[in-house]
Amino acid sequence: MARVFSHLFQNVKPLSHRLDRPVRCGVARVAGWERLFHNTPGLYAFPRPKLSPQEVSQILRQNEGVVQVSGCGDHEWSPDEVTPAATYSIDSVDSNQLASNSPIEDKLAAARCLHTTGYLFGVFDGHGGPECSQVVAKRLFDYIAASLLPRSELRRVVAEWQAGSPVALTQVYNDNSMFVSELQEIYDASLLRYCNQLLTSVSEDFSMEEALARSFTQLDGDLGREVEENQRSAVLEPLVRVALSGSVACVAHVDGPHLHIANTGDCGAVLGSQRQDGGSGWQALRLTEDHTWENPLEVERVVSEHPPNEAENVVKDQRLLGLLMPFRAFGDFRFKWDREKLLSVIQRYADHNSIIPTSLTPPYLTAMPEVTYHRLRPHDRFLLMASDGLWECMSPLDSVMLVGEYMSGRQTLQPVRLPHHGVTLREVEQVLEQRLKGLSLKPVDTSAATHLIRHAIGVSDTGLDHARLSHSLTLPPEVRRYFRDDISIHVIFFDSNFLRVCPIEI
Amino acid sequence: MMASGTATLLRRINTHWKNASFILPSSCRSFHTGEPVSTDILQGRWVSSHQYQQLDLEENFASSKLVLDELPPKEAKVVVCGGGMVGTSVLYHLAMLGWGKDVVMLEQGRIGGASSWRGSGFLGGVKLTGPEMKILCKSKALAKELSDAGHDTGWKQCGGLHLARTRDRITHFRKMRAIAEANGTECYILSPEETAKKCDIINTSDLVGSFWVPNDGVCDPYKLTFTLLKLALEQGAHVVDECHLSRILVQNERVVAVETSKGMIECDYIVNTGGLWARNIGQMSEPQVKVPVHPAEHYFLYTQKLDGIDPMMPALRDPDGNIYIREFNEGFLCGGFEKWAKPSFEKELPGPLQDRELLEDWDHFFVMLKEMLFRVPVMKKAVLGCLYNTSCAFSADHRWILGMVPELTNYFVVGGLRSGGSSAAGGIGSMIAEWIVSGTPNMDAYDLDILRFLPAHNNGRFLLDRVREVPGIHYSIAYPFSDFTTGRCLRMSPIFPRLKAAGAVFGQVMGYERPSYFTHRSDGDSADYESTFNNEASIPFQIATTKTWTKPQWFDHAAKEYAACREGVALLDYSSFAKFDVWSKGNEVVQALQYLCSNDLDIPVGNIIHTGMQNSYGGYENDCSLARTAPNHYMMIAPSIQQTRCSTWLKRNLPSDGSVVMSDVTSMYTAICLMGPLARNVLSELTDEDLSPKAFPFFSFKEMDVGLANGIRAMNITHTGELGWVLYIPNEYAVHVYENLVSVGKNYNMLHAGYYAMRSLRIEKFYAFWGQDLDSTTTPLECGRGFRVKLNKDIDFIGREALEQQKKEGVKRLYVHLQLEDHNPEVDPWAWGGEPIYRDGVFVGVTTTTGYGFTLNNLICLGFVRNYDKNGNMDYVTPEYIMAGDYEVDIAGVRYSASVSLRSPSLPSKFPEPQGNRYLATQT
Repeated sequence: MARVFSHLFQNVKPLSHRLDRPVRCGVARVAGWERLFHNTPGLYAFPRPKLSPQEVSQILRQNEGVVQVSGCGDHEWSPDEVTPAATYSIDSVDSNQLASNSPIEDKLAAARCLHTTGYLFGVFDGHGGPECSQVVAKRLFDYIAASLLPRSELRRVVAEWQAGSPVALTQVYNDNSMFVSELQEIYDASLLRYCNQLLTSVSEDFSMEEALARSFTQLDGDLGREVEENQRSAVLEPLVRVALSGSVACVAHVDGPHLHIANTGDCGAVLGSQRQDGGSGWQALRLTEDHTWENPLEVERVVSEHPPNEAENVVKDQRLLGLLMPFRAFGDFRFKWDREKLLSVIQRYADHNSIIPTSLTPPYLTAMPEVTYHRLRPHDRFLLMASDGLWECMSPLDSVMLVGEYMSGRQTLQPVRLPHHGVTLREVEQVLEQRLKGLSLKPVDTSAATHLIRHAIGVSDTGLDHARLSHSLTLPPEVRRYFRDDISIHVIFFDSNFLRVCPIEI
Repeated sequence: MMASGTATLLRRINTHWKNASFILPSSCRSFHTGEPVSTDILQGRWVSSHQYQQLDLEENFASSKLVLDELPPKEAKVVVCGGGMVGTSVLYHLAMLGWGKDVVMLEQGRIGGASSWRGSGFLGGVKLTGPEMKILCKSKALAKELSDAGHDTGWKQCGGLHLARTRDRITHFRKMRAIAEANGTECYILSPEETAKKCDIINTSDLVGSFWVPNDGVCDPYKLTFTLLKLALEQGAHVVDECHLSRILVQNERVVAVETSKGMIECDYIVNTGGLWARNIGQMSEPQVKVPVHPAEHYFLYTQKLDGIDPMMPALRDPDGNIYIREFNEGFLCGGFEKWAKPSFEKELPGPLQDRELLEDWDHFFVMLKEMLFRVPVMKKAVLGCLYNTSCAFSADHRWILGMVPELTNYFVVGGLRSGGSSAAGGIGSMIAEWIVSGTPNMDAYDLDILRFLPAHNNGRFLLDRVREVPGIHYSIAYPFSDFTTGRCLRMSPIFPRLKAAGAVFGQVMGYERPSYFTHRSDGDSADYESTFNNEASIPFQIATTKTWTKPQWFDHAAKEYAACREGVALLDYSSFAKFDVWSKGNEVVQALQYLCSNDLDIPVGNIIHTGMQNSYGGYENDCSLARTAPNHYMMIAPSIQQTRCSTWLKRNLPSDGSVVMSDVTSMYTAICLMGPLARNVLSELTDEDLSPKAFPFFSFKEMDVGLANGIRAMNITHTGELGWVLYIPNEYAVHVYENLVSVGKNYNMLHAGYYAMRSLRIEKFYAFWGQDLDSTTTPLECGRGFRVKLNKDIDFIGREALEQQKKEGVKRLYVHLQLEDHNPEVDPWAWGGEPIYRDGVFVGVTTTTGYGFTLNNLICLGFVRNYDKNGNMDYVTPEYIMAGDYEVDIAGVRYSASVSLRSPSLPSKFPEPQGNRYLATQT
């Protein structure tokens, strides 16, 4: 197993796009990457592909992950686990990532709660370095799982822990990394402390919304507190890195027909449903709101939390304090601590970027999620969770349709659109030839998430285009970020048979 | 349903169009000139812009204002439903026959909107079957004639060039040339070099050769239809557009009126030329009329003007590439018939006519585009005008549908014209018009007649399945016995699974799966049927194919089966035969059948008789066997393909008082034929009935027990001239009887035999089959069956007068048996029907059916021999004339000499005939 931070600290870039000057980000975000292609000479001309179709597929697939939930009877359940129903609302989960930053700042997580009946899925999009998203992704689910435990169960777990035998709260899928032991000790202590806190100070009235919100804010608080309390630790530097980098998070909790989404920042979750009006089409239902300047409620909230004379600086250049794209996030303690605390805590790790001059009345940033609930219906076929790298390239409806038609195994291509004037048949032939190649590429993906990524980066006017895919995947690392962001996707397929017979009361 | 926004848009354009009377809105013309175009074009909506810019409103199109009727007349002799090209042609021909003022054509959309006003415009071509060929010639002649009379039809005699990429295609072309030359059409087979000279823009690198018809050409379908319409209107014909048909009112099996959105029209006849909607129009009457057509996408590509195109470039057909190309308005017009087409409007047909255009699927069309650009490389430089995805109606078997429907007596249909509207519409229109006016068709076109279908063919899902395959057939090589792979395993006899397990390879006839031949196991066959029964479901269904013009791959199987039929015993499935019970309370059935049949039906109970049912011209409407099962009850056996046609004929000619009842029992009985000299031994082990020739002679019938089953109708007749029985077994006993027969048959080395062996037997023995040799224009006197006609008795029957006259005057053709003499069946192409026959070097007719005679050891061709005088008119023919000639049969360009006979041959047999006088099916 890889030890996460032993290598990550060697090669951390000081800043990434979320903290960049707005003007640089504007290229990627406002102009749109496809504009660049339209300026290339010739009709749909691309440089000669550097990658073969097989190589493209190999690259796209290297981060593929799949979780088969329904119909896996070969699970070995330990006696103290809660066994999910034989059939479950989730059929399977396809996940995949494509890096733009190096190293990738996105993180995916999927886990089963071992003592309650739910599953947890998360997409974490880091900024200012990969540390915060990595740590949050690995820790948050335990915080949530603990919050969901009934008091008696929690008491038992805590007792066992204190007796020296730790109890796993979640079973994590597709993650083979672990923290270095010094960090692990600190994190374990924080979790235990949170559990005790739950037992002593939190009322017994359970609310899913509150449990999720509490887990988010508690973990975020712990990230800061752990730096303050471990000033002499050998792992202070990693702790500081985690606190100074940031991460947005979108977490789904699925328990039978109940779907809760807790969202902090600008990852998105979209539900794909089959249309019920007799048509065979698809509907996309957005279950999250982005916490960015584009959301007026968010702008209003942030501004209202600070004195009126700061209003101008709080949201500036479409960013929080002119710097940060998401308005809610884990970490980023530069936006949360005041100047004195910041300087005292991070000390020698401080540089000229550490102090934000316009930060007068912190905190400006919170990890508090917005929680939405949706009861799954038989025609809800899948949940799509993705970092904004996908949503920059594709609308929710387009992506739902791609996955929907991928499900039915159909060829999906937009009809050909030809210029209306003066196109010769030779040019038409060239366009169609390219489409034909695209068509032959299509069925290669066995993962819906890969399928989405392929389309997100490989579609030109003529359809799926190998030259464009190859081009996109072979961009030099230093310019790649201007064409696309990290992309991370979970596609959670529901078992419609289960949802059809699922009783109302559960 | 389409968005209402688009509907409004289209409506607006229509109004515009109407006002201008075929003048196109100027906004459309800008498409060509490159100015901003209307949104309709951007959306792929085609408003006849680019295509007709050439009209330029200067010629008669602009000056002539066609005046259509606002409202239809209250009554009319003929209502033509559907204003496409063929509807207009029917209207025109009716008007020319003097019915102008009494005919009305209804169009649900705007006149000129139907896709058949926009087809490829090809005229001419060569078809291997006579009626189709005649129709093509007539269409071409019509365009020429109108053009010569000074009308603008866009006719250009640019010649037709058919390209061949394979040897088999060339053989196909040689057959086409043989038949075309025999009919007086000038045509040539060209080498690739000669081909390049005819048309220098085509790539000939991969060609084997081509077929050149110099007198063929192209028209502008829009102009041609316009001219037909204009001329019909001048004769007083009525045309009403934007008129929706809602109901067809029927009384006593006759249409009496049609109800439209613009009022009711009383009428004497209706012609359903509804194109895509023909099947739906069929459903507007009670009883419903079945028109088995389904729409599929069909593409036309128009390019804009390209410098240097020869306006007289030949009409190119490249069937191996599934494409055609022609010059049109200084650009190209091309299209294709792809191997697997896309069905359209699967759920519901569009309402207003203009909505039929679908978004073009370039990816689907690409295969054809590639072929086009490969064939005519210069096309790459051409600027795209428009790709036009229209939907065309295709019939269930790809051939045109025409004729009078079986359900009603004054209701005609023309449908399934594919996109070949222009090549067929003229000829078909003339045929239907003459049929209506004179009461009888001017030619027999049974393989185009709507009576060839069963209700089963009208099943929507069947059609949907089938239509994917139908368009591609148009350009496929017409190999013998070609069959569809879709819509299979539809009608099956109860013993079908057993036959399949026994190695049957099937062909489809009237939807029925009939074994064509059996792939016998090498170990001497039937030994282990039991073991195969256990897993018969897992045995794959095999479709018979004959993808060659030479000796077929099934030859050895058929030879083995033939030998069993002649020298041992074989079991054949005859279940597809049409079977009817006809009876009455008293003697009425005998009287009725005496009137219907040309042979004397008053036979003793238990006897069987072959008879024709003639029409008033003496031609065969039906050719059947009748078994008298009781004094007032007959069972009729007719060819499979006659099922609809003969029941229609009977229904129309039996007493209208209902005293004689007819019932189609085809689906109630499984028919197993035991054929061969040992058939008696096999059957006798399973029944106590006395099967001796004396007790159960040839041409007799008994209802008897077989095995443990009863009620089996056994007929001592095999339809091939061999000894044997056909057992008509109630379906629930079929498997029982079959198993017993197979089990007993083992002791006699009984084989399964299929249709190909049976066909060889009957051809060799000179048995004529209806639909293959005989049709409604053939009289018994022409086909050596005068001995089956009761002219010597004083009994009136339909056609008697005509036959008496013919007997007096003589016949103008005679049915002959030709045995090829210098043909090497191992290497030479085979005759498969439709080959020209030459007598003393002069063309005298074509073969009808052909087959290998395994006893005579050569190819046998049956056909009719005529005597054409210098002017091409038919003279009388006598047996002496026939026997005096030296005969040759032209197979794909090579003439093989043949010996002629007018009588069924006596074949040598290991088993001497037990009965003294053999039955000779054909004798003169």
